[in-house]
Amino acid sequence: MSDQSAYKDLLHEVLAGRVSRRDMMKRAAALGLSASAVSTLSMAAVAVPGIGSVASAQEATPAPVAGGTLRMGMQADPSQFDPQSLSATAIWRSIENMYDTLTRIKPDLTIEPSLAESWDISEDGTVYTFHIRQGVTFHDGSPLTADDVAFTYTRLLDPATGSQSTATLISIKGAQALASAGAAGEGTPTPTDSQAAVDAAKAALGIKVVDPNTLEITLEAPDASFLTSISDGSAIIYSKAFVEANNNDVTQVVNGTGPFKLDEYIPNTSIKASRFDGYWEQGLPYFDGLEMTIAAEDTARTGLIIQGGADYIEYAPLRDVDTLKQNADLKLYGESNTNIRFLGFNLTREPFNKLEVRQAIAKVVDRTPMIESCVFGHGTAVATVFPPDFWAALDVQPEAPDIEGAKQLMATAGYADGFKTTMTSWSEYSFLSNAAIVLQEQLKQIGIEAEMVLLDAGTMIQTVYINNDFDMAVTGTSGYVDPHGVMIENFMTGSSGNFVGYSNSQVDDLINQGQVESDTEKRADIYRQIQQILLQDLPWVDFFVQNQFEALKKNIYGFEHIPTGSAIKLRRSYFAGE
Amino acid sequence: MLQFILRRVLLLIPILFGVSVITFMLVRSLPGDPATVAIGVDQRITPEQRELVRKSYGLDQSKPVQYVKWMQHVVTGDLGKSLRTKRPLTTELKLRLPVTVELTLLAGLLGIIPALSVGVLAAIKRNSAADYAATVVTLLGISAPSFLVAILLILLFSYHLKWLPPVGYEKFTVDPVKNLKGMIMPAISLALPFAAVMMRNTRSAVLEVINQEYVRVARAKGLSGSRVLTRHILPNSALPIITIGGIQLAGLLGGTVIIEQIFGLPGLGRYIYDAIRNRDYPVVQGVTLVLATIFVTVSMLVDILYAVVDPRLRRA
Repeated sequence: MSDQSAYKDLLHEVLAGRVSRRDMMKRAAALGLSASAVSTLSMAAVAVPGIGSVASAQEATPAPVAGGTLRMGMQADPSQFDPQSLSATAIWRSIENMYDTLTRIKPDLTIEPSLAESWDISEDGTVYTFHIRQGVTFHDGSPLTADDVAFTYTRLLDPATGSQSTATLISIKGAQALASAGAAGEGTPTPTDSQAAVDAAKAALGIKVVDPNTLEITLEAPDASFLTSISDGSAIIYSKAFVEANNNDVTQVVNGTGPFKLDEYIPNTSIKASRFDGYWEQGLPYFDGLEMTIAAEDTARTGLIIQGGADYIEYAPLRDVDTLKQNADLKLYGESNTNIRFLGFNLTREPFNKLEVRQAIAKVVDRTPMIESCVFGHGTAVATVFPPDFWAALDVQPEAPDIEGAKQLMATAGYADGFKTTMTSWSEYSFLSNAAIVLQEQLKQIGIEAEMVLLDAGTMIQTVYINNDFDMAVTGTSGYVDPHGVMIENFMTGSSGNFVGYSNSQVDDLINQGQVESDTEKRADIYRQIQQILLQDLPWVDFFVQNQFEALKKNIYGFEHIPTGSAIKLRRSYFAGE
Repeated sequence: MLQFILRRVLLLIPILFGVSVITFMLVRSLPGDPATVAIGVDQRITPEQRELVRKSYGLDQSKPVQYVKWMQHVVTGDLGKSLRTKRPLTTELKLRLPVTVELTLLAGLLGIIPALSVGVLAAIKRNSAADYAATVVTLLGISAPSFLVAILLILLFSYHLKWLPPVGYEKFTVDPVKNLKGMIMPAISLALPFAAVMMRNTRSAVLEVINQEYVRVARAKGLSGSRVLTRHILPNSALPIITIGGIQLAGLLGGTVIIEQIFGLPGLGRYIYDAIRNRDYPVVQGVTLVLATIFVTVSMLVDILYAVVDPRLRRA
């Protein structure tokens, strides 16, 4: 290979976002490239998200100044404010600075103490003793106690709440029994019977209030992801007295311990919140208030910050990221996220139960045009479920397409002439359906004619995830923090997210080991083993991680991007200078 | 006459009963249910827990029982609560109906004035440069869907000129200026296609009349051009314009769904769109029933009005 073509290959890979900045420099040095060639590469790397960070996000930080109202452009309407009663990202985005959890996520996806000042974990890893922060008050002035935490956690699991997020606390001892108490199946329980069952399950739950500032939680088995789980939006701490006074309905009212309190909500339109003077973090927040405008349409959200109607927008539309970057009044934060876009095979159906067919399809996949058409280039190609910079990721790059190899595999499987099949995806999400459309073309190279089936959310979930009535599906998952959640949800035999019907006892064992193991390095190793097996079994072909950005006015400081999309750092942000 | 009115009113009952049954069945015939959508794909959940979520929405009961329970509330004027937001429908309707009505009326008003004047002008100056220009412009208006117009307006007025916010609604009673600032772009987006259609209709309606003999007679007896226009042409071409205008205005209501979505307006169209998407049964049923009631009541009033004007119809 001549140096010229090696350089071109490297440039191509950089543009495709497959090489990290460090690797790029190393390889450039090995090639003995000229200074100008290296600078071209660097410029290409800056232009490509996923390499280096957005340059404008690093600046000298002036001292914090209190005051000013932050006007925010939001992507979706929360519709209500009780994440225990309805699981919706938009709810959490709108109230994450009004409530607190016991632990909270840091930008590097590790956790830090929040309402729990500290905790002790028993030798065997099953008993967590939380020391609840003293001097914390709710917006109504009442103090936070361990009772409130116990009440909140029990409420999430109580069948009467009908929560969709019981998985958050499911590793607590007796949680599974409580979350399923009174369900049909054990005959037809009368209302009194099922109430008795619920009461008994509540009594047996492993949550114990030791004193007003100490809470003891016993787990069914050790769970290394527990402290991360309780940082989830569904585990925000409510005031027991307040919830009871509202007849258990806190969908329209907010009384949290967070730095802002809810003033007004107009459905589909706006949310106003003002500074809570009794917030427990000294001196915070700096803003006097938050004014959120719901701008669901991408064009409208970009327009809002360009026109000046907002100082901050979440989920900066990927189509407009480059334009926003060039805007002298704005700066962009972010790019990393923990979602994954992939192709799932129905492993219970011909011909996808044949490994060679799945391998052939994996060899055909070219991620670069997908990333271009789905997310306007703002994605990171991945070979496995985790993005390369995640601590538990297997260090493996996606391979370039190999059509000849794919054809041979198809012939081995007995499909030398290809076959006809269907490919199902979400009609409402172009970042998924466009990948399906690109793949449809790519599959034709090995004679696979896939008919496109695009479904709306309700139909998609029912058809693919519940009835498992599909051949191939292009879909995605989002928002994990700990690797355990993704693994157990999607790859454990019989789990609800395992719509492909994957079952491998070795993987099941490793998932369980990963949950129990407390040593991070050993855990990472377990998850790397799982990814290795998944790459061999190929229940999914992973495509890319969709980047995610927030756009802010230049004069806002103190903000940090968190890869879950959380804007919890707004409580530390402030206006300064011009 | 009284008997006629009574008969028309009584007829409403079976119609609305039919509407309620059909919407009830239709919304349940969609794949998935409110629990399916709420649970989504990122929640690990056992089949028993899934059943409990359905139960919390009252979906564990048989469909006839669900229907009867719903009806029992509806006849007392209680339309129920949204399963997702837990807010009562009546509260939502109070907020949302005025938004959609204001948007529709504003769009109608913005559309009808240029449509009528340009339409009449184009008819009178038929085959002139002005007529051709109007034809080209209206063809563009008819071909451009309102959401495209909406996006172009945002690009022009928010991105480039920075005059208007792309989203942001305020009640007219609270701040009329802010209200109109938020309403003007959505109204224009809806008004443009409406005006284009109305202009074409006005032009052809006027052309039809212009060639009638009585118009020629009026001219022949020496009436001035403007007098012929106001006394003979316009009154006679008004009827088809009004009929089509009414139908088009009703069509605008349907167009609000996507426009409300783009401009973030808390209107009725957006409400029902979200409800269908989320399989929020009580909302879909309730809003459909309210809209159907308004619709049949208006047609009943029109029927009665016709009967007042034309006694022959009373026997029908």
